[in-house]
Amino acid sequence: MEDVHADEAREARRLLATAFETVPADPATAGDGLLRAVRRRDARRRRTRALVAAGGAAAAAGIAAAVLLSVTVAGATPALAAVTSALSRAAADSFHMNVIVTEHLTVPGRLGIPSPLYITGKLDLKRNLGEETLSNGWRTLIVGQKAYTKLPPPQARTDTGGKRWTEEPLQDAEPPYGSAGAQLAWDFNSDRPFNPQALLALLKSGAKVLNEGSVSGPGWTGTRYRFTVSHPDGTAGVVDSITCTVDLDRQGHIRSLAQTTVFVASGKPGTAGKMIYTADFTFSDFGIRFSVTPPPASQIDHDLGVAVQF
Amino acid sequence: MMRRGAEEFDERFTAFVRSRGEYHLRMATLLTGNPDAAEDLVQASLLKLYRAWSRIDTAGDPDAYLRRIIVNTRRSWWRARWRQETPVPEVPEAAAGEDAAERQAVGTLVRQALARLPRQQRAVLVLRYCEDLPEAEVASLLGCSAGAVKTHAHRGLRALRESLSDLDSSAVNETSGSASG
Repeated sequence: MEDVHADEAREARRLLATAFETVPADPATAGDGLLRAVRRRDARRRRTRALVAAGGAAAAAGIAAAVLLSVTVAGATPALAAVTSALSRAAADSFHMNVIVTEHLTVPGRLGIPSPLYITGKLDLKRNLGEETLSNGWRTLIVGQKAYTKLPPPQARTDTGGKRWTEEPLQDAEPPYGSAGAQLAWDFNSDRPFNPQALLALLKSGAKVLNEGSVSGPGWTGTRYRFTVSHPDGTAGVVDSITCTVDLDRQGHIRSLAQTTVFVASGKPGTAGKMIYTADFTFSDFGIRFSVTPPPASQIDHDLGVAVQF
Repeated sequence: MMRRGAEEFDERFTAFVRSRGEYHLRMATLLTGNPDAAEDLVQASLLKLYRAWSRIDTAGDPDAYLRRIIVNTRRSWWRARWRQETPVPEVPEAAAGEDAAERQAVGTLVRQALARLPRQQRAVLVLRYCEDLPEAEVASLLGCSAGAVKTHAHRGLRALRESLSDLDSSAVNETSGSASG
């Protein structure tokens, strides 16, 4: 076991104390400013929770489409109604999913992913089951309210004491924000890249859906729709816009979804720019049945020894 | 009766954030290596604390609860598989007197060096040598063994020294480069 000598520890304390004490102070982010920010988050969270929970409960009961449509579509345009109906249906469906994720920075900076990143998998949103394999070596299983992630060997060695899997309650993968826009921006890079309930909430926030005409794919024909939400509520200047292009087949299934999220990025002074993520989803095999088995307990690093449960 | 309870609850939480918010923001800046992420992390963690405030014994040590929430939330965020660290503006140079400026410069270098370390090593150094927590408590917070804490501390300090040395010589090179150019 490698120990730290007392003089090294003293030096570390001195350096870290300097680093701590010289963190640039911003009165707007501490004290009352911090308190106001927490209260704003709380208010947003309560508002959005009610909205999204309504969608989730309905999906679980298998009556999502009817309920959400009655809530959302009164007076809606045909394009909005079609997309809302398809998302509501997807929220209670199962399917195969392929995703291609790309990332692009318009300012110098380090990319967070090997771009493009490929994800293949299957989801059953009604039964809360899922399997995803990523081209960067990660693998995720979703079983009920738990997400199990298998790390590639180098990361498993450094981060989880050699155990290959981590376990987290799904609710802990929730975004640190309280709005549909922020949730989508977050889910985009979480265990649940496809989140029909958040998309429904984003639509409800006032998106204008455009019919872009006919479209077809292998074995299906349908219609393409598109909507953009600029500066989504609750994203606090972090998200510039979210644009979705949705292809629906004649049976009302979502065949593909291209989601582009534009983040505000700032580099060195004077080099403010954008960080652009795209996720191109394709869906197939609607209604498939499958089972998922959690990994053996001995191979799991239990992530949270939490004293407080939320 | 209920209303009075809610007011007292709010008052205690408010007093806690006013007195200890800045401390946790500074600590989160060291943990994340990014002031914007730190602000986000502390706000999200305080919201969790606020929602649990009535269920926990905050008369004891609310700092300890918040610290645990911050560490867990950060870990949760890190797990998001390709969450990008936004390029952030460079920290402005200090304009105060020489000592203060030098201290500021050292602080900036240490924060930059910390930000280069692997996530777990950085967390161990911050919790062990800045928060001054015992090894066992750091191990409990990070969900690893005390032995792993020792190893991370040893390797983290070595990497910190190397990184500081790199950063220091780059700063010197940049200065001499701009002087000759």
